Amino acid sequence: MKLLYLLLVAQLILPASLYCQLIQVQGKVVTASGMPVSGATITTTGDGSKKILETTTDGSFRLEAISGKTVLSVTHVGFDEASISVGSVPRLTIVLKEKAGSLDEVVIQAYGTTTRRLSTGNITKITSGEIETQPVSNPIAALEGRVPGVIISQASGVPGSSFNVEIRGRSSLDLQLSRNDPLFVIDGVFFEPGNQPANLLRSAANNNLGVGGLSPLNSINPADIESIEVLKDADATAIYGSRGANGVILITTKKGKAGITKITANVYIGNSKPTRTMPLLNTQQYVAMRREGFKNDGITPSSNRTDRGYAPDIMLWDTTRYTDFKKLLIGNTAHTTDAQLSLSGGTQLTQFLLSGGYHKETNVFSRSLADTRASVHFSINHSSENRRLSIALSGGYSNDKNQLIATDLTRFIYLPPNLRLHNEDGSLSFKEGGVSYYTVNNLINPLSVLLKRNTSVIENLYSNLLLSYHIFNSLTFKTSFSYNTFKNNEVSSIPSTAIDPYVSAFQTPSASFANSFTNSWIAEPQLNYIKNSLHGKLDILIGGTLQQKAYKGLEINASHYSNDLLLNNPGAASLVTALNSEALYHYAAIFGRVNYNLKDMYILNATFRRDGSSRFGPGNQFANFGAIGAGWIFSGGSFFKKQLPFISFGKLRMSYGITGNDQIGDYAFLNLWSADGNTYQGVQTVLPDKLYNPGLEWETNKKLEAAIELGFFKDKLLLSGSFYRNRSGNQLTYYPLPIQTGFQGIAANLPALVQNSGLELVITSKNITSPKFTWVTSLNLTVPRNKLISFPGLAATRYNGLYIEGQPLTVINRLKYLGVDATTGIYSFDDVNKDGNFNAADYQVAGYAGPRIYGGIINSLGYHNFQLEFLLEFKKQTGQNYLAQLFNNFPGFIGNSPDLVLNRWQKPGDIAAVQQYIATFTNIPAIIASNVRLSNSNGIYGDASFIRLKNISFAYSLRPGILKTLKISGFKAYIIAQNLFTITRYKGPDPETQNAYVLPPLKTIAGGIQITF
Amino acid sequence: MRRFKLNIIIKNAYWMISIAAITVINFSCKKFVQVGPPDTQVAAETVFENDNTATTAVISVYAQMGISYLDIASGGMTVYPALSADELATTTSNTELLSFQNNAVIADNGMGIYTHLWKSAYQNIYYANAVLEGVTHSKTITENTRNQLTGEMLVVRAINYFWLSNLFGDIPLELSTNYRVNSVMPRAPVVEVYKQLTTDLLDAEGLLKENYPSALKERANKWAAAALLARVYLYKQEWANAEAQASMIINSTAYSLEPDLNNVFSQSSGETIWQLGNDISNTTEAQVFVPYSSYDVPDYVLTSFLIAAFERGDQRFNKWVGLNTIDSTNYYYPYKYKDNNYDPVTELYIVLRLSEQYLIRAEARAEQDKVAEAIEDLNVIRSRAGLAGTIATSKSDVLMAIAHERQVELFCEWGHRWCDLKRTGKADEILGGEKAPNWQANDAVYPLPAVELVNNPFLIQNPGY
Repeated sequence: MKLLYLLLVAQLILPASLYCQLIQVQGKVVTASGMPVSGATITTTGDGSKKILETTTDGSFRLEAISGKTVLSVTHVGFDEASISVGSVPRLTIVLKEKAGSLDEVVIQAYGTTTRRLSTGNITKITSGEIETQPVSNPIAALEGRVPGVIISQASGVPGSSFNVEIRGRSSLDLQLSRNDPLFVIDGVFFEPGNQPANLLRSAANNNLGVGGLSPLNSINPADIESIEVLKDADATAIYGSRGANGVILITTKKGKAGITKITANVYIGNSKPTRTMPLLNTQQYVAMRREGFKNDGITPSSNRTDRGYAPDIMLWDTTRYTDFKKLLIGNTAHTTDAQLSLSGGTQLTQFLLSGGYHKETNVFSRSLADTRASVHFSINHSSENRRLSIALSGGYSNDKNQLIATDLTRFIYLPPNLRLHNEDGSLSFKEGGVSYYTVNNLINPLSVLLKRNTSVIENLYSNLLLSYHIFNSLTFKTSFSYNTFKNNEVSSIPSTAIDPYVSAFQTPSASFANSFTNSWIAEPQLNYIKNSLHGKLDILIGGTLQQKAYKGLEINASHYSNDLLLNNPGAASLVTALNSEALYHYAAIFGRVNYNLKDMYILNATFRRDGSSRFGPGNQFANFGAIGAGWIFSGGSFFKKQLPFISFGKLRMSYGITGNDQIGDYAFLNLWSADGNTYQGVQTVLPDKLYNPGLEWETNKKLEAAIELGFFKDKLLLSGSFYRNRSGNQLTYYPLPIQTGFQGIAANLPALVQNSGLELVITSKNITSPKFTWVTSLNLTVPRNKLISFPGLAATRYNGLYIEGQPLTVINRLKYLGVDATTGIYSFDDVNKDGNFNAADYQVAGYAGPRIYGGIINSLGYHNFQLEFLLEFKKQTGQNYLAQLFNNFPGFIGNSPDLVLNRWQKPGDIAAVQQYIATFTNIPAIIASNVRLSNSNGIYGDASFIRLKNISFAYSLRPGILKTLKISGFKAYIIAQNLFTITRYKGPDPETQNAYVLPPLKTIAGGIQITF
Repeated sequence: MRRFKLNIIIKNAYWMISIAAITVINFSCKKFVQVGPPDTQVAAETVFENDNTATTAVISVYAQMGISYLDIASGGMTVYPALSADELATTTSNTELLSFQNNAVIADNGMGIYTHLWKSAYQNIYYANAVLEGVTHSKTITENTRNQLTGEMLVVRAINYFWLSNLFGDIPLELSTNYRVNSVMPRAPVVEVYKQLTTDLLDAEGLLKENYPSALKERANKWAAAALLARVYLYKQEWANAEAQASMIINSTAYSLEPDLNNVFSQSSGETIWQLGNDISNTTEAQVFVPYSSYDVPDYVLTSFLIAAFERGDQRFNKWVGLNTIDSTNYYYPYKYKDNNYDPVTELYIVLRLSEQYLIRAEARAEQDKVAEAIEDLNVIRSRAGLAGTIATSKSDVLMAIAHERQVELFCEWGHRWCDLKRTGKADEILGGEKAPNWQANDAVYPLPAVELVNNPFLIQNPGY
């Protein structure tokens, strides 16, 4: 018995011994994702006889007494034909590749794959084809305008800077701490750096009050990506448990394919400039504005420092000088060079891919500054001869050196346009007419900012090993083990040449050094059981996750260098302070999925996860999540086939489930004291660094989705419409407190419920598909709605007035702006209670900010060997306009304004958009007060809708005939462009960033070639 | 058949082993997801485990007070009230500073009102409360240390509340770190604040010793508590108590007036009762007041009212006032602290000094009709300044002379002038004249920061804002 057992095990594990001559062959036909293909046709050739048979429901087949020379050809609807020679292998697994673009195309899902036809969840796939036509360095940028339900917007046009990613709306009450970032998963591995800023030091990438920063995803080479899948509903995301609430973005890298060894080279170069900025006043207009301000104030401009009318910029400085700061500081052309080389190939059992990429992007501030990324990526897949054991190893390394400056120069385009930049000897000017710039509202010579450099070197090393073993045909054991290190090494320096001599006594040359290091590993063992029967197919997955993430950050600030020579050596500084931080995160889970597919008509899918996270205190660490999804492919029934033959596909699906959000940072529940880098009497000081809340819990997000998917005329027209409703409760936020508590806030769960609902529509139409001419149009459209359903006790919290029950989180509840009073020339507002004060009691709801409708239209046209594709992104939205900026920059004060302020009030009776200019604070308090009121009114909001030619590509490929003579297998020349033009009536800078102090997105035009050998 | 059965058994075995493995993983998870505090930080209980670490926490609170530019205890309490009163004017076009100078401070004022004054004071108070709770609950520190540290933190908390109530009027009076209570706490009347200050300072006086726990008088001792208490009594017009506290300090012989005015604000000044600072930089006052060269217009200049207040021959005008003459315009600036280099550190913020105690006692005595003794105290200060004895003789004249002496002795120092004008009811009369047309009676208290009113709905704004 025992012996028999051993023998049996031996037979199961060891490769079967070789057979010769006529053999019996058993096999299985599967998809690339391992799904069995039933009803596939197998034709044998090569040994003189020809047999035809079909695979059974579990995809298996059996051939008796055939010779090793036999070649099997396998065909099936929706798949490319595959052929394989039998050789001496008694067990065959034949992998069929799905035809691209159809309903049966493989779609990556959590821990596996599915197809558009059979999926019960909402998954949008972006292919490498769509990514490579875009001259972008960040893969996330490639998703803009292409995915329904997802808003991706660029925080800044600075190279390497981050993107805001919001899947199905904002669910958090307070974005200061609880982030709405989706979970990023690369090749099945959580990408821990996620979408959080990768930098510790401030730079041009996040100059503006912590907005933006360097994007960790910029370390991923878009050319290495095979596909990006965006998972949105509960069915698709609940298996990610506490991390799936904000949606999941799965990035799958390229793999090698069996066949001849292929070498592909791709190179493009391009130029970029900022998209949209506001025209500013020239010196003449500026001086006139200043003088008009003084006139309104009844004050004479003076050159005397102690006078109220002190105005050195117009009294002491040359008012004939004009510098177009916009052109000088942010108007330079940035150059992009991108080169990719890949080598791939392999046999049926072993495939490999090796690729290297280089991407260099100079920036618009100065050509000498560039973001340069070099990356390598590899993938090796191997199967044992009996196809039972398979190993997949993939990994890569990238090094992204981003040279920036300390501050985004966009904020300096509003300097007085007559500010002198250079002295006569060519050196940087810091004063004119005896007046130091610094003493005039801390003005700065912007060219000195160019000398304040910030360099960040991000290194990303990732590797993933996947082992799988077919224990039986129906049972597979899989385990993944992955490791990722993500490092950022930053240096910022301020040399003496960048320091205004006026402040050089206390601002010494200084430098900051920061190292951050995120190191994570994850292991995920899984068992997968697939059973086909007459009634249907049962697919069970059960698995576990163990994960650790360790973060270490070290920041060294060095100052009081005696000179600039050794700025990069903190040892040369006479004052050095250091700050370090670390965080350890442990995560463990078990998860499972049961999928039952009855005759490809009825599909039921249940997912489950129980997970635990070290971010929460004892007693609150574990929670359960799960979802149920169901699909009914009604077009499979005979009724549709007979009565409505033009409907080629029809599916109804629904899902409901619970996911969680744990994005509150580590240790929020602990009462910790930490060193702040300060010393007193030589003692290193220690103080509490925050208020702590031991009772923190998960935030839950209950997601409901119902959708219909239709295909007409043999799937020439595909339509899919989804309705979703996500309710986010137990709000996990950093709850702001009055500072009288000692701190500005505390992490806490709030009993509020935020609902995001909406409709998503995707239409893909193959308008023309003749052999010579093809035209495909694809539209995606989202109508999102956001609502604060309930918030018990709202009135007693600081959110009172900011949020209103029944209204979106972005509700505009402010003073009602009535325009510039034609008599007084001052902004006027509706005083609801007529008490003469303009305060919260007068607030009125005036719509909400953010998009009402958004989406994109993609047109792909092919004619012979020409291919044209363009994406128009559109967004109907309300946003902050130029008046929001005038609050920081009163027209008439020192500092330039957009030329929109020329439309100002000058005399009684004027109908104007901007109130009368003022140049000082003293005389007309009503004007200052009204400016403050304006910032609290709906007057700073306006239509920020736009249509943008997000992407256009035009390519020419050589015909196969010519390729043969040239002995290459592919050649393509192309022109690609990003953000080429924008149609908008928006009054302000760029409708996407809506921030006058941040570099707008860049428009890029590039040209390149791709050769495959 | 048998083989078939075995197959099933083996199949099931695989399942069971796998499920068992996953279950084991799940159970071990409970421990796995509990991580200790990071190495870079310490748990609160550990901080108060022994005398040494608890003392470190106390030192940290002092360090925090004196570290930031223009925070309430590091220049802010000097600069902003001096602008609001009639001591200082800025030569810059910094709109925020001008709003203080023009008595046109708005509730939205970001840096001055919110960051430098309100926020920094309440942070100091939080830290003091955190230490007070820590040492109270600690079972392992010695009684001596507990008393010492408690006394010190009561003084720290008291002075912050003193400043706050003099700037803002009624203020939330928080005596614990409990944010649930603190975040909705309304303003307490000034009387209640002063009552608490008196209790705390009396306690501190009892807990603290006469000698300093460390060098440089950087930590509070018994006399620091007494000196602040004397001031609190003076403000409460409890004249006898004020006199008693001041006398205790003057009689203690621990302090003596520096004969050379140039030494009064030095690190080793004999009249310093308590000074604050840090190991990193010199005082913010010196850095913002003292220009970098004689060619620079100082950012802040003394007003004509203050300049006129100095009597002829007053040595304080020679030694505590600096002068830059540029294009034949004279710019007078405060020059009490002299080292405007960022470092090395040669000067610290002198919070309490002996000469104020003489003036407190003089006023308290005069108010109790001990006019001759009052004159005696007043003349101690005058003679140190190189001036003859006062010519005032009547009670009211002596009180006026004392007020004047406070103006020139304590100018541009911790907002003394601003607070004096208000507590003596002279603000409207004097500032109303000097600062017309900007001055309004409501300007005597600053607005509560607008954001604070938003975050705590139980706060009510001062009238006029």
